[in-house]
Order: sequence, then C-alpha cells, then structure tokens
Amino acid sequence: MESDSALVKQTLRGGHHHYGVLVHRYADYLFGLGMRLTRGDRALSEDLSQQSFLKSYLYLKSFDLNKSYKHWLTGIALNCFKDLRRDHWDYVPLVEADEPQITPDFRSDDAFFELIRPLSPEERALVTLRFVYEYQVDEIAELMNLKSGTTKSKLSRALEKLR
Amino acid sequence: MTEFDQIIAHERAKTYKQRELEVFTYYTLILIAEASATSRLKRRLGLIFVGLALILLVLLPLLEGVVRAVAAYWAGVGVYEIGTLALLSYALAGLSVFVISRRWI
Repeated sequence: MESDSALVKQTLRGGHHHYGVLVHRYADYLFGLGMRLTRGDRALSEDLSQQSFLKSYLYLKSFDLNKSYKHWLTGIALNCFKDLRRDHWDYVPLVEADEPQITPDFRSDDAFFELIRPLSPEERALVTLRFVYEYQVDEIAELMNLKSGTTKSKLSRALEKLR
Repeated sequence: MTEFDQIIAHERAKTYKQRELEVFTYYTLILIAEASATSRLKRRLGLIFVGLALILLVLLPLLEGVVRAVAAYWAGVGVYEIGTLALLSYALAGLSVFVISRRWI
C-alpha cells in the first residue's frame, strides 16, 4: 500500500487521478468525524467530507510532506465545519438549549449525539477530538487554531455542561 | 466506569461508513476536476488580460497617429456624406436580401 505522502507527491506531479486513492482511503474517516460533529446529520456529513477533500486538493501544495496527511485533513475538515456553522459556532441555538435535558441511554446508538446536544458546535468539536479521537490538548489547539490554554478552558467548560 | 466513559467507549468502537463509497469517490473527483479546470481558466484569463493590457500599452503611441488621422477625416464629413453613405448601405443590404431570397446564390 502506498503511503499518503507518496500519493500526495504523485498527485502534485501527475494530476488529480492519484488523489482518488486518498479520497477512497479517508472517505469513511471524514464521514465519521462529520457525523459526530453534526450529531448524526448524514447529508451534512457527506457535504462536509466532500468540501474537505476539495479544499485539501486545492491547498495540496501547502501540505508539509513530513507531517501526517490525516492530521492535516482533520484540520481542514474542522475549518469546513466552522464555515458551515459560522452563525452558531460558539453558542447553542435557543431551540436546542430550551429542550428538556434527556438522560442518555449509553446502550443506544444515538447516546453520544444525545450527550453532546447541550454543547455548541465548537465545544462538540473539542469534546469529540479529545475523547473519541483521543487527540492531545496541544494537537487540538493546533487543529482548531486556538491557544493551548484557551483550548483547555473551553474543554473544561464543555465538560461542566455535560455534568 | 461512569456513564460518560461508557458512552465514549461505545462511540469509539463505532464505525461510520459512506453510503456509496465508490460513487462518493467518483463524484468528489469530478468536483475536483471541475474546480481545478475553473482555477486554470481563471489563471489563463488573467494572463491574457495582463498580456493584452501590456500590448495596448506598447501599441498606444503607434495607434495615436492612426486615431488622429481618422478623427481628422470624420471632422470634415457633413450631413450630405453621411446620408449618401447610409443610402448606399441600405441599398446594398436590400440587394443582398433580394439575392439571397431568390436563391441565386
């Protein structure tokens, strides 16, 4: 199996058809990330993954071949998610905030989506990256263009909301 | 293990799949090809625009003489000349329409 950086190099040399392998490789990963960020919105997750691939192709020249392509793609997906949710990035819409708190049933398939319901899109992204994808705080800060301290405090505020 | 930990552990173990991976890949590649063709076209149009602007800048002093000659010619033209020219043009156009409608050519 060819490495991601080899495929990126080939794409930069020979056009977009080599990029198909990378799209195929990370389509499910980005879709999963999208499903978690959008709380199970399938259509939005598909849009998000498509936009992320498109943007990553357009900015491929700026990709550092010594770094992880998956990590870079995750950062792009988060930026796309931010663009999609620009109007509601750091607050919870009133409709959702006013809904009665539901105690999530951890056996249910939607338990995670119910759990993160009271969070704003930004907090959702923080919690998902930290606990589901097990990224370190510094990595999350880099991915979301935040300072490390800010990331920590936002994360602890989000966790308080979940208690 | 708290309920939070159980939900997170359950979510970590879960995998999400695109509905139609092949179709998704194919469609994404089409979008990429379209986007790169658009940006290539924009780049080329930009280059053509800059090139034309440069050519015009170089040719402008040469064209100045021609423009002045044309302006001098039109300055001497009166209503009589314009009327004659219009009449001749309409006559030529009418004749052309007549010839075409008769299928002589």
